[in-house]
Formats: sequence, C-alpha cells, structure tokens
Amino acid sequence: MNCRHAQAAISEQMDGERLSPRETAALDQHLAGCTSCRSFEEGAWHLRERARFRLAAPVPDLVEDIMTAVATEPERTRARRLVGRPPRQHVFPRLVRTLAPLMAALVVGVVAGSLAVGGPWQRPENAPSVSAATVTSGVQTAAADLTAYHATFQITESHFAPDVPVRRLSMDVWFQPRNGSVSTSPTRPATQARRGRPRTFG
Amino acid sequence: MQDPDPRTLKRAREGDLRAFEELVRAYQGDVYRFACHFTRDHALAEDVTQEAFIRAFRFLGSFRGDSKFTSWLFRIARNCAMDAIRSRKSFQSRDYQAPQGPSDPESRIELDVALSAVSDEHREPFLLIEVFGLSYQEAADVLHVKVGTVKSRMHRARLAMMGALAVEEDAGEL
Repeated sequence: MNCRHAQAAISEQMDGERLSPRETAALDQHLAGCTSCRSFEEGAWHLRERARFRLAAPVPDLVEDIMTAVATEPERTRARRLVGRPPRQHVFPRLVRTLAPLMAALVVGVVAGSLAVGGPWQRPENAPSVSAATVTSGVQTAAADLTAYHATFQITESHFAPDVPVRRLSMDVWFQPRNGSVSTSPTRPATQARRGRPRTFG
Repeated sequence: MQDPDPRTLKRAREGDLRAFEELVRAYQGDVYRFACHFTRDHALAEDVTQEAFIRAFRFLGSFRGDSKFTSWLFRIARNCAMDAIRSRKSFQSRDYQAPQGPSDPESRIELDVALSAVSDEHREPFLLIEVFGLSYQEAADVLHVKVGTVKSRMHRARLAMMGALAVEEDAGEL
C-alpha cells in the first residue's frame, strides 16, 4: 500500500466505510512506518473536531414564516384535503417562547457542536440516537404547550477525537414559568475514554 | 442525520400541515446551516431555507422514498441555493455590494477561510459528509454523482482543507 492509497483508506474509514481485514492490515502496516500518513490521519481528525465545533452557530426560527407561506399554497399543490390544525392552548406563550430557545441553546452549547451534526459514523446501526438539532426542535415544539419543563438528557458521543472515542454526559434542564427562572444542573460528565485509534465503526 | 418518523412523513404527504410543521422544525436548522455554507450570506440562507421548504411541500406528494428524505430535502435546498446564487450574481453585476468579512464575526473563523480555499466541487461533499454527517451514498444522492466520485472528492477536499488550515495557522504565528 502506498501513501496515496493509505490516505484514501484513512478518509474512507473516518467516513464510516468498512475496510476489509486485508486492507486494514495493510493500512496498519503502512502507518507503522510512514510519518507522513500518520500526520495526515492526525490532521484529518483535527479537521473533523474543528468542523463539528464550527456548527454551533445560531439558527433563526423560520417555522412561522415557512408555515405561513405554505398555508397560502394553492390547493392543487396539496395531495389531499388538508387536515385542520386545532388551536393551541398557550398558558404562558410569551415567556415560554422566550425560554425555549434559551434552553435549546443550553443543551446545544453543552454538547458543543459536535452532536449537532449527527452522522453514521457516530452510532451503532440499531441504536437509538438523535442529533442536538433534533433535541432543540423537540424542546421548541413542546415548549409552546408546557407550563413547566424538566428533562434529563443522557448524551453518548462516539468518535469525538482519537483519544476520546467515547464520552457520556448527563444534563438536567428545567424551568418554572411561575417565577420566571431557568435552571440547569451542572453537566455531569461520565467520560469513558478508550485510548488508541478507533478502527471499527457502526 | 436521521430521517423523520415514517408516520409523520406519511401524514405530511397527505397534506397534514401539522405533520409538515414537525418536519420544518426538525430540519430547518440543518437546511439553514447548509444554505449558509453554500451561499455565504445569512439573509440569503434564510430565503433559501424558506424556499426549500415551500418546494418540499409542493413536491412532497411525489416523494417516493427512493432515497432518504433528508437526502431529498438537501437536494432541494441545494437547487434553491444555486438559483439564489445565480440571481444574486446577476444582481451583483449591477450595484449589489456583498457584505464585507470584518462585519461578520464568523467570517473570521479559520475554517471559513479554509472552506473558501476549496472549489465548490470539493466543498459540497465536505459539508454534506464531514459537517452534516451524510454517508457517501446519501451525499451521492444529493449531488447526483456516483459514490466513487464522492469518495475521491471528499478525500481531495480533506487534503485541501488541511493544507489551507496549515497555511492559516502559519500565517497566524507570524
């Protein structure tokens, strides 16, 4: 295996592709004696970390604008008769709508961007998993109809970095609109790190 | 990136606005971020996101599930972004002044600089795979290219990004 093939194999492996046992052995053998390819692998993981952190940028809430536009779409574009939308019972609409993005931001902030991307390399095939974006939208959806909120998030993150292939965090988030306070417990990290380059995915 | 609950998707396809709203809530962030990276303009990205979901609503009835819903949605967003960029270019050719970098804090982030150093052809698979977590097959569905093409472009993008970041870091040390 030459450097070109080795680096392509490293890329594919990082992106969740499975190498054959023969390819894996050839790659390991090549990496053992090639500083350049080890450097490439290290740089690629570094790039991944940066790309994932970069994702924590705020996202505007466009739901209302989109749904208003969609509701004015001509009837012929709709496959069947639209189902009526029941009116919502908003108990503390203004406060809750104010708090929801803040809570979502707290959650997203704690998971620090990398969860925001999700990805096939991050979870076993059959394991339940959601991205932080899903958590955010779920909180925002639910918040419109809630009078109080308390949730515990159990977060398991895989392949965050070569030296931290698995880490687990737990976080309590709650609010009580009556006194207008928003609280979060300190994140309880329960990192389970395995040293060494991850070689199996999914 | 996970596909929606099939029941939600089915209800949305049948015209249930509440189900469609669930889809919007679930994916507006990803579509907006993708549009942001693609257009490099936050205001334009908002327009692209809105247009993408409107088009998705229009054509949801014809979505047959041959590819993942998220791939289908990204493909629509990409088409909307390309249309928006084309419109902006024709507008820019007259009197449009693009926002300058220093006024946008994010533009100072090195990764953005590195992203701008790679071609569109390589930036797209990088964003879809590395940033948004699509598989090679899903990215190929979005980009309408073969999986092998995605693989090679992704690898070249990674090399180019690493090279650009190294240059940035060297420049920062001077």
